[in-house]
Amino acid sequence: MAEEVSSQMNSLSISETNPSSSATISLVSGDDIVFKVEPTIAKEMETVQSFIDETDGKITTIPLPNISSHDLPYVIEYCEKSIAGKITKEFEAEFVKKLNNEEVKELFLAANYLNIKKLLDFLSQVIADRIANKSVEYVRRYFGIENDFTPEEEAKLREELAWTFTGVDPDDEDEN
Amino acid sequence: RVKRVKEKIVCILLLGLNVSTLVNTEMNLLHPSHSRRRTPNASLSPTFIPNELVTDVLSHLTVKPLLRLRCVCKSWNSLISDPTFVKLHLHRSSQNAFYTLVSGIDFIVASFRFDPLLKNSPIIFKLPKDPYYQSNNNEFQNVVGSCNGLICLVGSSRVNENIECWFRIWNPATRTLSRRLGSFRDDLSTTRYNFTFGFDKSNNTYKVVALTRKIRVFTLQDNAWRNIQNPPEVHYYAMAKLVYLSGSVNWLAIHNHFGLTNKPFVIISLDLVTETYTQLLPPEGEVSFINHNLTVLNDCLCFSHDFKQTHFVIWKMKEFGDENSWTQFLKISYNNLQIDYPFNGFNLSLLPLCYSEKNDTLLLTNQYREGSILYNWKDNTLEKIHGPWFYTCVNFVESLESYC
Repeated sequence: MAEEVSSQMNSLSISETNPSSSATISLVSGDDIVFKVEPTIAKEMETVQSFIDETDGKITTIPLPNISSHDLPYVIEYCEKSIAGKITKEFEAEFVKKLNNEEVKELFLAANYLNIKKLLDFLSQVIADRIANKSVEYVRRYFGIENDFTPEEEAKLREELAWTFTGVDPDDEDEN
Repeated sequence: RVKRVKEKIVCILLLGLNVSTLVNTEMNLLHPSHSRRRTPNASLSPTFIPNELVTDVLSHLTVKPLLRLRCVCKSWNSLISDPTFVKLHLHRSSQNAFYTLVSGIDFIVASFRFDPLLKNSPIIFKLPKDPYYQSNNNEFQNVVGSCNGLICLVGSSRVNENIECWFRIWNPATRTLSRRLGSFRDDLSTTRYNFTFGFDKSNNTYKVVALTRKIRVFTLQDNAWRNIQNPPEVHYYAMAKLVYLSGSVNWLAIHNHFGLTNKPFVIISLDLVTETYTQLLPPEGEVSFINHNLTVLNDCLCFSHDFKQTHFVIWKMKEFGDENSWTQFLKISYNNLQIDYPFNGFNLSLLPLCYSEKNDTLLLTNQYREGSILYNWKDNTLEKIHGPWFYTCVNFVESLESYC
């Protein structure tokens, strides 16, 4: 019961900061925080838009159990810029500067879940850029992948690809 | 209770979504472990990225890091070598294609994006050490084309009274060079061969086209030469340079009934998929048919020629295949280029290589004086490039493609 009350309070406080019209869409994050957005924002999120379309627009409160209240504002910010046609290289650089590696991955999953192609493609490139100069070990940790090569197999492959191992950044554990 | 609420939400979503969306979101819905009901940094295990998204991320990488990441695990190793992934990567990489200038000295390929040409020094691709390569004074290696990140090199050497030709496929990004392919011997007196290299989309294979008195096609898939039918009219292939564009091989031919028409030239276009020909007319109007060249300039078919021994003219076919789209692109006086009439007795030695619309700059090469010129058509300024002499320009894209 306590959880419900707190989420209602949260939703109230969010509503106050975002005065809404009757047409607004309520996006409910996984941790039950309500974010009111303009229908044009919802249109950017294919998953949300098809949900609205399927119910002929009768349902305007959309639960997004896989997206946290920490990530959703970033997604909304990106969609707003996208609608305004203000996605510039500068904006994108600023946008990701604030995000650590885990946050980028979470947003990437959110973009995939919501089916926002531009954001998905952009974050895909961001992750690629972040791992481009990293060591094999770093990338394994980044994706939580276990090495299933035998030491001999790995040594052989590394020897074959030795020239690709130049210019790799030293691992920095603090980056996450 | 929380679990029940979750299930309810999942049901609402399942009922509400159409099938195509369901496929996309299925993974997240069915694997609640992927949901992130936590504040950042609260968990020790890294956020799990499903495989199809990993593939997408990897397709954004350039070739060198990608090859290194084959060492991550077995599944990445096979993914990065998988033909479907190679195509996906090529598709992405194509958006970053750049013009590569090829220099003939010491068989190096000097590469740089054309726009910042004046500021950046070129990146030099070095041909890998080649166990098959036999140094021979009569041997040369020449770049005849580039397609999907592969560069086709043609070599030849003299064997008694014969000439032996072959080619190799080189991927500078993965640093792989094929063995000699398509080796054949011919009488030295044979008209010199012209080659080009292209991709046959339908059959998913690369083809090398050789033009002499006959037209021969080498398909990489079959590893064999075939003679194909000649174009419908018999042509004398004077100074025919083969150029590859949009899945077709093009060259300039002279009508057999030369002299009887005021349109002695025709462009023959061979479709690499169907291996059939179409004919295109060169531009009409004040066109001189002396000292002509057919080239590909910034992905456009171009026809360049001399004008009254005073000017150099370049025409652009804006829509490939549409004869009505010929537009005069530039007309530059030799005075402005600070060169004498560049005619060597056979053909015009001036060849346009590429241009930058943004910088109003054209790069030309003077084939018989072994120099390159950067010409700004807006300010009418000129810079001569010393150093490696560029003789061709290819639109290059980094890829994982191999020649097999």
